Amino acid sequence: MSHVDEGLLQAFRDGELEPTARAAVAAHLADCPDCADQLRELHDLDAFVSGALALLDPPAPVVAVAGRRAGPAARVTAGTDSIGIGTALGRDRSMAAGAATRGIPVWRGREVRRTLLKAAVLVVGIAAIGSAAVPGSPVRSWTAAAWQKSAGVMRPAAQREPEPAASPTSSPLQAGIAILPDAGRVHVSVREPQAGVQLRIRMADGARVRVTAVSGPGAPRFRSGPGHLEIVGPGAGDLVIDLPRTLQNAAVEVDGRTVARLESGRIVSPDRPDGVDELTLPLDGTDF
Amino acid sequence: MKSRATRRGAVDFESLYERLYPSLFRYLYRLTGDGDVADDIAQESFTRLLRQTLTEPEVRPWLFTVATNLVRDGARKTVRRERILASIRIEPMGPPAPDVVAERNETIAQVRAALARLSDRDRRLLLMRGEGFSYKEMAEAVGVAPASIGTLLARALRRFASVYRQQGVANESRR
Repeated sequence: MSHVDEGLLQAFRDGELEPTARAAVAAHLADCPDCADQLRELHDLDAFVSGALALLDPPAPVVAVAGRRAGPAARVTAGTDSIGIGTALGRDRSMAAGAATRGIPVWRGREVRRTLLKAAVLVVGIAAIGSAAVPGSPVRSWTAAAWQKSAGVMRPAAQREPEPAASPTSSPLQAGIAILPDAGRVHVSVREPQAGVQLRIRMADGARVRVTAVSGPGAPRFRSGPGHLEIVGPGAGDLVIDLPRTLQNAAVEVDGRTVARLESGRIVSPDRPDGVDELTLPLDGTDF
Repeated sequence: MKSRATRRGAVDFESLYERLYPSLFRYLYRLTGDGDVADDIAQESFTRLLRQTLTEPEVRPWLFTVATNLVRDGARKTVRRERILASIRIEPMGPPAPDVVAERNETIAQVRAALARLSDRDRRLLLMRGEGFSYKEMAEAVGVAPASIGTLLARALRRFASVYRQQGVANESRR
C-alpha cells in the first residue's frame, strides 16, 4: 500500500484539501498506522514551531478591553487594577494608538469618511429643498409625509404608543478583555463565580486570549498582568475563553483549582484527558 | 465586476485596515523584533496600498509581500548605519537583568536566530501561516503553485525545528 505524501498530509491537517481528496486521505489514515503516525508527528511539529514563534510576539499585556450593553448606555467600571471599559470587542486600536503617541502618521479613514458624509448630506439637503419647492414633484409629497410623521412625534406623551420599559436585565451585560500571551504562555483564573455560570473554553484563531462574560446585573471585573488574566465575580451566564491555537502553554483555574490546560494545541481537563477543541464546564456544584 | 480594494465604495479601506493591521503588525514584529519598525512598515505598506487597484483577495498577499520587501530594504540600511555607529556605541548602564528575563531573552534570541537561518521563502511561509493565510494566498505571495504549499510548509516546519533544536543543544554545551 502506497503512503500519503507529506505535503498532502500537511494540507489535510490545514484543512486545505477538496472534499474528495480529504475523504480519500481520511480513509487511508484509518487503515495506515504509518501515515497516522506521520500526521501526529506533523501535529506535534506544528505545535512546537507555533509555540516557538509565539515567543516573538510583542509583550503587550493588555491590548483590548470591552464592556458593552445592547442598550444605548455602555457600562463603565474602572479602578486601579480592574478594567471594564472600551470599544466593541474584537476591535484593537491600541497599536494604532501607540503609533499616534509616537508621532507616527496613522490612517485617518474615519475622519475622511465623516467629512465626505457631511458634504454628501449638505448636497442632498440643498437638492431636496430645491425639489420640494417645485409643485407636483415627488420630493414635495415625501416632505409633506415626513412633516406629518414628525408632527406625530410632537404629540403629547399620553397620546403616544406605549413603549416597552427598559429593563436592566433585558439586555445582559457583555464584557470582554483580550491579552497577548507572555512568551507563548497565559494563565486565566476565574474567582468567585456566581452559581449558574457556565465556562466555555475553546480553541480559536488569532494571537490573543479573549475572555467574554455575558452576565446578569453584576458586572465581572478583570485584572490583568503579563500573560495573566483574572476574572472576578462573573454572574450567571456564559464565560467564554478563546485560546489561540498558537499558544505554547495555557492554564485555566477556578478559585485556585486548575480545570483545564493546553497540551499540544488541545484543551485537556480531568474528564477529557485526550484533549478537545472546545470544553464546557458548569461552575457550580462540580468537583473538578 | 470585481471589487477594487482602493476604489471608493467597493471595499471599505478602513475595515481592511482594522482587519489586517494587527496581523501585519504581528508578522512584522516577529520578523524584525522591533515594534516601532513593525509599525512604521505596516503604515507605509497601507499607504502604498492606497495607490493600488487590487481585488480584495489580492490585498493580503500583496500587503505582506510589500511589507517583507520594506523590511529587507530597511535591513540593508540598518546594517550600514550600525557599521557607522559601532565605533561610538555606548553600553547601557544599570543592574543586570534578573535570571528569568535573561533566560527568556535568550530563548527569544534563539527563535529569532533560527528564523534568520531559514530561506526567505521558508520564513515567509511559516510567518504567513501563523497569520492564517490560505494556501492560495501563500502561493500567490511567494510565487509557487498552491498544490506545492503543503510540501513546502512541512519542510519549512522541519527545518525550523531542526535549526532551533540545534541551537538549544549548542547553547547548553557552551554552559
